[in-house]
Amino acid sequence: MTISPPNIPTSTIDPFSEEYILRPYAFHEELRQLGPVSYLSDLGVFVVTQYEYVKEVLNQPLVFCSGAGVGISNFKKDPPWRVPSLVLETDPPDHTRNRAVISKALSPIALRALKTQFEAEANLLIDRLLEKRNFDAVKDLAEAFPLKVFGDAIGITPNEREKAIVYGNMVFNGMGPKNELFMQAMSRADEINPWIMNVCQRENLSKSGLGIQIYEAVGSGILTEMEATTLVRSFLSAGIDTTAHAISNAIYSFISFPDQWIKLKANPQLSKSAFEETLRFESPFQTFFRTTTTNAKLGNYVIPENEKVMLSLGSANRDPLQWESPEFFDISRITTGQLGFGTGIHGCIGQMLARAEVEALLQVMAKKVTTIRFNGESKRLLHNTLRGFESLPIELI
Amino acid sequence: MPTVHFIHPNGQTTSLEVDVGKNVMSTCRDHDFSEVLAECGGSALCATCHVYIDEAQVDVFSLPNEVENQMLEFVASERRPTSRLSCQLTINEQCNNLKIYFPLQQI
Repeated sequence: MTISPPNIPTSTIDPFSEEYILRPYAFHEELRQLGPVSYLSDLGVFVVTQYEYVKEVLNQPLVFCSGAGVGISNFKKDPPWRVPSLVLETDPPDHTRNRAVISKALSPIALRALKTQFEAEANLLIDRLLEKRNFDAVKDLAEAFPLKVFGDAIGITPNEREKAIVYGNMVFNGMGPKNELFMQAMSRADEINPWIMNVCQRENLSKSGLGIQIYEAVGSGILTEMEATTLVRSFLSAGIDTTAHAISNAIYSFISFPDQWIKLKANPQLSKSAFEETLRFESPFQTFFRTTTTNAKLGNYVIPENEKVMLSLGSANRDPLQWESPEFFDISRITTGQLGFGTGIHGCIGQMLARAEVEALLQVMAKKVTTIRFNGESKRLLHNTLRGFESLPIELI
Repeated sequence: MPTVHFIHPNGQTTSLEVDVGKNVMSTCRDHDFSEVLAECGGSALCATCHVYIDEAQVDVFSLPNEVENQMLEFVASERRPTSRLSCQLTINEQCNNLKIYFPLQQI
């Protein structure tokens, strides 16, 4: 355990405790009150919760690096459990090269071509669910939709796609400390790790998907075959359960704020801002870590070199210094600058794809669904990084 | 406060006084300039806030970073040496009388 550096406020809050995970917002408030940065003495890490400073850290990727891991563990001290991500857990210049390869595959032109497909699938799914009427919004809607449309867009096998959810769960629970959630998530690692690497092989990807395009960089000598496989893996780890939780959170928010649902129904074009507001209001990605590469200044404080810094995106997105009445879900709010996708060079590269998916789904729902209501007790997900639901029984009319 | 001239594709000019520190894309959205879409809200990820900076004045902004540079490959109108994503531009003291041209298309 490192000793708290002089002057930096200390807190004994544990962001990986059940109380915090289930109800983080009062804890966020307490931490924001402490100032730009505080030290979590029980975990031996620093935490940044105010909007202004979370943004500042994200925009200084060389001072607050990602290469030593974006979870609580410091790769310089503890070896990572998997081959590190070539984008998420990599710094410039390698990050720049790798991100460019993905960026090319996810170009705005490629995404525009996918939108029609997303809409068609959203229509099919919502028709089916309206017929079913009562179901679990997590499994049958929030997970089912990205598994289908995102899986097809990347071009992975239609078989056993739900394993991608298990993998995403490993990656993001794996960013927390080695607690019960971590161990539980990793319990199927021996089965899931080889599965994911196999699905991402060149010969197992569809000829028309985005995944195969990553391999073009092998032909041009930019990536090795193994690097290409690892980059395709990034699509699957980052693009499915994150989107699924965003969809669950949107449904939950609309049921909790029925006036906003009426607003969306009156103007389905608000789907775009409704998704942004969901990401602000209930950020699926609650936390990310960085590691200081030097004595790093933040506000009037200095964080020593080689320390882990936890960034609370969920708190930044509810910081009253940045947002008026942040505790209200308001789909006509101007959400520019919300940090649900992060920002800067590590800002979510798939954000336009996620937007296209969820906007298509919300638009179809706004047009076809009259009422959404709870039909049983929802169960919050206990997770080291993501905020969402384990189950969300609803009725769709 | 610097005066910035926004030149629309039809040749019309809108001149505005813009605060130093203000983002160019946000300025365009605040004034409902329909030529700037900014679908991603300012993350340099959608290439729909593309603008051309007057050739003689490109130096008023620092060079595009890698993320912007990559995304400029995907602009819908022709990419020129003066092409920028307006979400990555912040008005500074040197911007007085700056001319910013909107492209014909963003998507």
